[in-house]
Amino acid sequence: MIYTGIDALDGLLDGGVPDGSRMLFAIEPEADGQHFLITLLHTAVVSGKKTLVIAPFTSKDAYFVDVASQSHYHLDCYLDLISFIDQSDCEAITAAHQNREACRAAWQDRIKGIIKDEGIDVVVAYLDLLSDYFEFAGAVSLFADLKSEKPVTVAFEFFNLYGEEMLQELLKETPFDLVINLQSGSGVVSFFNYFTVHTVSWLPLPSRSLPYIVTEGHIVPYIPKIVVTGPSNSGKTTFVKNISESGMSVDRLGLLGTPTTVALDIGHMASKGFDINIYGTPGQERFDPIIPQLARNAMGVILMVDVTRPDLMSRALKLKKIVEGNTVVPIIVVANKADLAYSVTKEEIRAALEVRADTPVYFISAFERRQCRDVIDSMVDQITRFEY
Amino acid sequence: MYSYQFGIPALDAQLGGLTSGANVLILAPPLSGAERIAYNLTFPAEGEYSVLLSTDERASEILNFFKLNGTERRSLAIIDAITKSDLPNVPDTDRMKFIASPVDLTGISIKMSKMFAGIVDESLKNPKPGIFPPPIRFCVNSLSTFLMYRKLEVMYQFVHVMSAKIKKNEWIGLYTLNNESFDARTVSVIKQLMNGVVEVREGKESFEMRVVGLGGRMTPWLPYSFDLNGKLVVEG
Repeated sequence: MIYTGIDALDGLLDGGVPDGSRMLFAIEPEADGQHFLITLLHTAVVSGKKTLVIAPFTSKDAYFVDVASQSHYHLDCYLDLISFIDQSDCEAITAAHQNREACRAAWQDRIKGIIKDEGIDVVVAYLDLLSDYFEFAGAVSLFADLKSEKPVTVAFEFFNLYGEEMLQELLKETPFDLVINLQSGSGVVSFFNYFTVHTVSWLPLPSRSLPYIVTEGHIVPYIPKIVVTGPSNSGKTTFVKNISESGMSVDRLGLLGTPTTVALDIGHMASKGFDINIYGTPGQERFDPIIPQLARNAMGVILMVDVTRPDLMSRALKLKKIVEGNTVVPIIVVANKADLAYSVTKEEIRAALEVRADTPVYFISAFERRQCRDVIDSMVDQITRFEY
Repeated sequence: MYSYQFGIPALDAQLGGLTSGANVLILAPPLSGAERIAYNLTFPAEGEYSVLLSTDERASEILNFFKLNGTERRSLAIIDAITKSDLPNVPDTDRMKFIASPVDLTGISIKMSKMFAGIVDESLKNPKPGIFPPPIRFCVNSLSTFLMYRKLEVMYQFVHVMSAKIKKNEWIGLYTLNNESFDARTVSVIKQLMNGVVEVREGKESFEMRVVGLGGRMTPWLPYSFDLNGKLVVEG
């Protein structure tokens, strides 16, 4: 198994990439996506894998310096594990073979020779210049039939100037085991990056786009908004506070002398390699008009009910409908206060809330941090694997 | 609509400045000072920024040239695809970013994006708010270098992506191309992405330029020279 080194992505891929796979990281203009391949390379050498880097656009020294300055990975500490074909090697091969077929044969000989002699486990190849020479399919086919004694995993990076349609065309001719498309959302400037797991050959994973930030050269996928809603006093604020590493509530003392949320609860946490922002809505009916704004663009909804108050299920159903609007998002039902006496069942809750039969329903106490975190872990799974 | 003035009386009189969103090719033979023409047209006016993508001159040389001609340090940003091949350890700064070689279009794209984002971010934090997005003059000092290493189809798409961004943000783009090193098809393909062309030819006594296509006009051939600081002097 080869790890991408990005926890959230490895989690999505059920632990990593099987040995011998062919994977493609396709970067669209302005997407800050070079760290994906660099992180994979670093993770491979740290775990002792023998690696061949093919970077025809740079020198070996400049590459190591770039990686160190951008990602703080010091690959020069692993020189015994890394073989390199760089710009000068590339120019030498090209200059020595004017005929395209001869040039192609020379490249194949060189790649196979290093893989065999060095016992390479992982090849990291930058395709851009090679695809200028041999076209995309031809460049990828240089790495076919490597005839190594052990499976060799090959990870490609390709600058996809032509967008998603062209990528589809390229993939028709040249299949991969894993394709990650890296894109950016741009206005005046690029303001966020996201990756799409386009293809996974070994898993029934739906194609899903997830935003990420690059912090100090490290990829951190994030979920910008999960909304927690439910009737008043169902435990939303306690839940958000209990799972959050940092957060705040905007609340006031209610008529009964207990705090009630009058605007929102905000929490921030990490789960399964994702940074997550959590927004709790107010539960009182007078705040219903602001809930659609709070819930806009949420990637998941946690619907919280009080198991001791089955009479409030209709209110929970109304809130569910407000939050969902016309969109389809994954929902988890949290049946809170399960540490107290109650009689409702999962099936009764699902029926009352009109949710799908496969919608998870968790009986918890929002005072139990571990149980709350399990709910969020499950929500992440729902967001990344939910079949729309 | 914002108009980018050149500060060169003969050109400003002929063109009335350059309309925002314009992409202009400077098509010039060797030794005609095409890069210097491009730099002169890229000098930032007050409140503007200049971003240069250099494929044939070190950032330090470009910086000196701009400083010599009065450009403030903060108004100038350079993406240098030359220096790193000799000095792999050269570090990036806010205003200078280094790429291993002109072949690395991925790296150029990412660092350009970061450079533009930095300038836009800085302009938003400026206590004296100006035009948004901030006016930027973008210059590629040699498409010729790119075309020597990369396929025309790839470069067409790359320039298309760059010029579309320039147009969308109402900036201006200036790109030099050596017209004697490439065939007519190559020049024609690149021209398709432009709003106008500065053509340069060798005249009887000096080089001459004319501007074609901006606003459907064509200027007469205008002799030009450079003063001791490299400042463009256009007659006419």
